[in-house]
Amino acid sequence: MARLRVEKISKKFDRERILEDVSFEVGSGSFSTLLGPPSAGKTTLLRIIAGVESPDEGRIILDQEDITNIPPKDRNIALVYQTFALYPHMKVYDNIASPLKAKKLPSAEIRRRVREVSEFLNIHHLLDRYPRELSGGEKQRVAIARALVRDAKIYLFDEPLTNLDYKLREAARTELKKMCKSLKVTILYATPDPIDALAMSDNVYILFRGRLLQSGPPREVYNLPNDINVAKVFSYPTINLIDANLEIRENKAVLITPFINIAFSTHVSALTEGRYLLAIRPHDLHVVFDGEDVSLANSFKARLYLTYVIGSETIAYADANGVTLALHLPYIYRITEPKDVRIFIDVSKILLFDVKSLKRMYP
Amino acid sequence: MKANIWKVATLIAFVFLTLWTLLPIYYAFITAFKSRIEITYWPPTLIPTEFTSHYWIIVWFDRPTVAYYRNTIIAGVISTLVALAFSIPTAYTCARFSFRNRADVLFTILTFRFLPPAAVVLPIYIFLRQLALLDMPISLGLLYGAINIPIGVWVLRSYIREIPPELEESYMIDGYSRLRAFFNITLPLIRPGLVAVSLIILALSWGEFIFASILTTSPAGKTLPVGISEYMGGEWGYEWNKIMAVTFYAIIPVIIAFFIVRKHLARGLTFGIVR
Amino acid sequence: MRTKNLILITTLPTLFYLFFWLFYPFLYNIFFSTFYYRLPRPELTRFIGVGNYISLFMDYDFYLAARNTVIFILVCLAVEFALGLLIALCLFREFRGIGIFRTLLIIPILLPPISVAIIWRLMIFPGMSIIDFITQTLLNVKINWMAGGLPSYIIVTLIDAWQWSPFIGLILLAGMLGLPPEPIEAARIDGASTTTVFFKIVIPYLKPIILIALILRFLDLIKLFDPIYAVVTGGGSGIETISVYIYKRGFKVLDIGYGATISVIFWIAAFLAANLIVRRFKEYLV
Repeated sequence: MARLRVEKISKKFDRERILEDVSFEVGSGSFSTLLGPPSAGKTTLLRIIAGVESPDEGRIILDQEDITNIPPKDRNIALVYQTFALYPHMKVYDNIASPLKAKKLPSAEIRRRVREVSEFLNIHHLLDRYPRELSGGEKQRVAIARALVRDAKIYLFDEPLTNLDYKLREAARTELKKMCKSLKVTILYATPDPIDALAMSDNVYILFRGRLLQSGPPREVYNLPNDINVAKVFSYPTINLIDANLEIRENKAVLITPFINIAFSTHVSALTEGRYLLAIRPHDLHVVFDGEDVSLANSFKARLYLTYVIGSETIAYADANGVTLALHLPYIYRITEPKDVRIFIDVSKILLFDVKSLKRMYP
Repeated sequence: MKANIWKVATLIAFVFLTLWTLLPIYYAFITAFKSRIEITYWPPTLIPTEFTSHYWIIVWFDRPTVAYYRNTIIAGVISTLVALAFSIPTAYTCARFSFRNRADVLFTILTFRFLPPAAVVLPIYIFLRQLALLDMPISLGLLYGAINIPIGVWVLRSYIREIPPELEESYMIDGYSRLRAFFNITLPLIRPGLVAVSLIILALSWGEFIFASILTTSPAGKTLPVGISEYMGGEWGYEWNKIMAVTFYAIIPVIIAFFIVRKHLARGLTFGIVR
Repeated sequence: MRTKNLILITTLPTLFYLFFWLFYPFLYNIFFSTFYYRLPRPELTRFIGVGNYISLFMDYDFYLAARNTVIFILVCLAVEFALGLLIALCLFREFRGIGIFRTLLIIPILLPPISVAIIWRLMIFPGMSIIDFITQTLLNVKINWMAGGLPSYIIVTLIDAWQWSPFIGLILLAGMLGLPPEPIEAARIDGASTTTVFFKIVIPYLKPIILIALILRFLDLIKLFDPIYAVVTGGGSGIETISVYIYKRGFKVLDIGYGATISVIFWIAAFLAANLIVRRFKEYLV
């Protein structure tokens, strides 16, 4: 277990800034997620931490030791690649044993540890096979085994679930979480999927276009994103952004949008009148069913025109007076033709962003 | 109707091409079986009236053929080893790292591939003569090595680029140096490419003529191509059976190498540009 | 930092080795070209500055050799491309046994060029060869293919085409095999005939491949030597290329000074040609 500190890491490639002034600290024994869209720089950052790429500026400090200029073989860091990077010409056993052989451990010890890890990951029956004979899920577990078999100071995961097909992903995520919790090691986990961050981590770091935008406990960052990009990244599917005008009427603040006027309670008087970007997550929009008791003040009419079902949930798209909204429904809902519905908006989850600076103004 | 015309045309083309390719080789081959008199038959026979395998044997003794063969092998092997020794590191670095002058390096190397031997053979002759290194297969091998570096670099680079760099990186993260990663990961995975390139370089060195003819003077150093060309003018002026026998001894290893390598041939001949 | 050292240590030695064998001699040539220097009579060596170059400028045989080189390049390229295309088209089919044909037709490429030339020499040798027989008896014409002039031009072209058309064919075939079938199928469905498909879709797609094949062959043809040496005996044949000319003037006669002069010009021309072409078409290469 080790503490990792990333200090002001910057990296350029051909004039393009891949990472800019990224700094954060990963506590010993914690499970931290590096969350960001593709091309945010997550992989590059992990590679820099592991040592296979060097930063233009900045330092990496592991447990008080500056490892920025130390070659990867001496850093004692494990990295699980998104593509698994299994050695095709070696058997699974040799793949997993590779880091142990590097340390020149006695073969009895190597055998024992490989056995242990492969049983833990349920791949002990595959030790004699070659990577090309394995399925995606099995390859992933071998890659993880190769990392876990060592006593590394920190374990880096680069989008381990991205290359698995959707059905496998759910199960794998749960297994991964269980495994990491039981291991008590320091983990830095890169992913574009906010669910990973919410489900598994102690801390999340939002990386967007090479910059670290926000960090903190996942729930906190999720509920109070500083910046519209943080809100966008930390949302599945994309967050709904609506142009809204704030007016003060009779001492009450009212948000005027093309399809609904929302009244706020008075303590928002700290806000000035004017235009804002209203952000509401698809998760926080609900379809009202007949018979539900819902305050009409916070619902509006819209036309649902597209739904698609993923697993046991549905993404739905609706048109509300010209504004396209995405909804994330936690059940299966299908339509065969566009349907007029009432949509309820969870006002407590509304975020307001300044139109120019894109910073969060409310809450 | 139109389809039939195409079919017939294709068939004709096929037959023509096959005959066109095989006839010279066949004719040369059976000439080696003809007796001395039969060679001069008019009209020349396509199938010998008597098969003599005598000449296939005698060419080994009649002239320093054995020495020529030996020299050719030595030069070829040295050439391959030298070319690989230089090409492999260069190909690796040019494949894995992007540095500012990389394009220039690669294109300069490629340009040298097209250098006419005749344009540099005279000074090399003088140079080797001064150092008393003329007429030695080793000198030829060193020279051929240089000539074949461009092929080695370009083709091997193409093979190395197919190996994802993550494999080497993962190995380094496991705890090995880049050098070890190169030996344990990269090399084993490009092995078919290495074999192909080696055989191609061998084949090219095997048939090289102009440098060999100028830089060697005696059976101590002459290679097979030179030896064979001499048979034409010299004592064997009209002894085509012998000439063809030796020619075939020169060709056979190349054909065998070709069969081994044929899957990689397109890539090898076009410097990795065409797979 | 360490990466930079690694790059240097893996590229500099290679460049050095190449320069040593293939560039340094060029410098040597420049040096020698300023002298009158014949190896059998070294005592007559004297510095003559640009004297050799002036002689070269007025040397009819040199211009002849240069002209021949150009002619061979153009004619051989044309013939080899046509034949290569034919080969590629034939080998493009898929039927059981096509593999054998593909292997067979490609054999000429790796054969030692001098062996190929000798085999053909066998076939054209006056008085005892097939081709001689065909031309004499069937066409009633007595041609000495080895004596220079037009017959020798034809034979040399034939030899080079025999050996290297499969080379172009192989490259074109590889390109064709990489053709995506969809555009062609779509065109067929739209009613295009085979010729239209061929000229409007296949050829444009193959353009870079064709270019590569022609470039590679072109640069190799500059140094054409082996067939001419093997087929045409003796000097004064009139079909020499520059390489052969250097061989004759520089080596046969051992006139190092003059040979070096020709070599200098040749080296510069070849280097420029290769460099310019490689850079001009570099998008196709990497």
